Amino acid sequence: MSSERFDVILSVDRTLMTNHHGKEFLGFMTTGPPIMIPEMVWMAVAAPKVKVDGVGRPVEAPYGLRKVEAALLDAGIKATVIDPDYLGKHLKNAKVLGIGHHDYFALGPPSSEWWVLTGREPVNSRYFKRFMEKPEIRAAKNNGLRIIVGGPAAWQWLWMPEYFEKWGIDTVVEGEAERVIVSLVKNALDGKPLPQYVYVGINDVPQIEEIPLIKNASVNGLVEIMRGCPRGCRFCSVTLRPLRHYPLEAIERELQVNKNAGLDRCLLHSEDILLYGAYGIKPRPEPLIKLHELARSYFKIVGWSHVSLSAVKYAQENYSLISRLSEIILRDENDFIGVEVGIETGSPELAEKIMPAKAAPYPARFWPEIVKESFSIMHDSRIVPAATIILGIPGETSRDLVKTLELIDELKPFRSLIVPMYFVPMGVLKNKEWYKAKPSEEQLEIMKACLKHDIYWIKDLAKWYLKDMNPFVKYSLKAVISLVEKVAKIFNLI
Amino acid sequence: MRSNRKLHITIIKKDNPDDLNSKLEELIPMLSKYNHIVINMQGFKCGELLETIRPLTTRNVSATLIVHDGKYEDSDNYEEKLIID
Repeated sequence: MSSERFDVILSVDRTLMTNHHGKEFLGFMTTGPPIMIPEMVWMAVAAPKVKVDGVGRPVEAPYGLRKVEAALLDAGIKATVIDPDYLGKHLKNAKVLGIGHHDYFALGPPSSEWWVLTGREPVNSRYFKRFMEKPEIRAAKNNGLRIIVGGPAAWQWLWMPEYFEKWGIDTVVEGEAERVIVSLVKNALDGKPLPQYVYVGINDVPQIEEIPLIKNASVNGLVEIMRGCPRGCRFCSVTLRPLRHYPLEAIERELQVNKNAGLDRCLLHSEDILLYGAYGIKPRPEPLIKLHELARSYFKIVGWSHVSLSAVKYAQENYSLISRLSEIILRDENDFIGVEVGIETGSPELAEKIMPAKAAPYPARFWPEIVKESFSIMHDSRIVPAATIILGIPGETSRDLVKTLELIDELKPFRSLIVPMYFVPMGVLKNKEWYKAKPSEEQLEIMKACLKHDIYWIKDLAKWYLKDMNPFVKYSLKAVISLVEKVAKIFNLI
Repeated sequence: MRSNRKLHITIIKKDNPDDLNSKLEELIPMLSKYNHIVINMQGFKCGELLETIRPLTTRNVSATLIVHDGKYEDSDNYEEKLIID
């Protein structure tokens, strides 16, 4: 066993230090509390332990931690990502612990929604709290360890200051960290004072050449192809940052890192895959075909993180591009591809108010038609959208909710999942019992409609999604789906 | 070429937090003139410091904010220095 010492340890709890059995959609289970099965079984299905090397370094780790690791290594700092089960011996020597998380305290959707609906704390928040209470972290903190936290959920520390004090967090970093993390960590290593909070403004985000390339493999081969989004939706912080495209050479280097680590798949990540190489918001065939051919040359299984529905419609109408891309990536045993999309609302009026550019280059008043057409295109191309609906956005009216309900009904013929995202208003988070806030009757009707839609499609989807999974996971998931369906029928929810 | 306009703000804790909140709200429009804003907060516990700074972080401020507690001293050059109490 190696006796290598590291000055900086990067880690996170098990809900994120996992590959979700190669099925990132199972990661959604970590945003809820265990339903009808014990927590241990729930976690074994949603977030199994990952393979590690002889000293506890995971073969695959969350991409954000890998980017920070790369920035620190490039600066000559002895940093590494360590699995949460192997922290003990490393923290005895380390001076800094860096943590990144998607949802530290389950305050973001959909975690907050499951908490409100069930009255029970989701496992992501439970596991993070247990992680921070680990004796090895407490002991290291008492011996002078400095703790820096960040990631997409960094904002949550401002709403949970009691934990900041309780666990002795030194610094919260909110925003893209590449330009600030090295100097912060150097100051921490040198024993200099650290700021309690750093917010990286939009003028200070790194340019593409300043973003380091990962040195070690990411979960399920995730590779970022772009950062930022040009659509400017009011509910989304990503759109505040400028759009930056990675060159193909940089993407290929990260694909190689994952391939060399033995991964058998890649997941192309951006807020809108179809805008890779685009001029503005109009997809272009050439860069997209090159990107997909490149990814396919390394991996049999190529996935997408997110696409926008208007880009799906534009790409297919003008270039038959969705069909062409699906022909490139859907071969062999890979019969379908899943992707996250945002419907958000079925109301053109609300769409014009909160996301006027989401429909672009089409007018926002045609939003419901755009949604239906793009769902139809994806259905024909064996692309399965996992769509979000936002509930509780400021300015939402009963009329808007009725239109959303109508749209969900019209989407029934298309193979998809629809997930309602209930936004707990920021102001409500000031109340420590925020999770007791209840959705309105109309919002609950939409949640029921989503459940009905999902139960209609999920058995069909499970045949494809679970076909290469181990029997334990397959059986457990089928049992949960069956139980949810039975309970939904008993309570007249579907 | 990125500009590097810097602002230093000292926030001193007073008994009435509502009064301080409204002063911070008034401050928000001018923050976009700067690239870096160092905020030194005097008399706040760690948790209070985070709660107090919250209004500045939920308004899409374009500047980078660096928030220290009152023990921090620096000798950087700033274009402007403000004291809020």
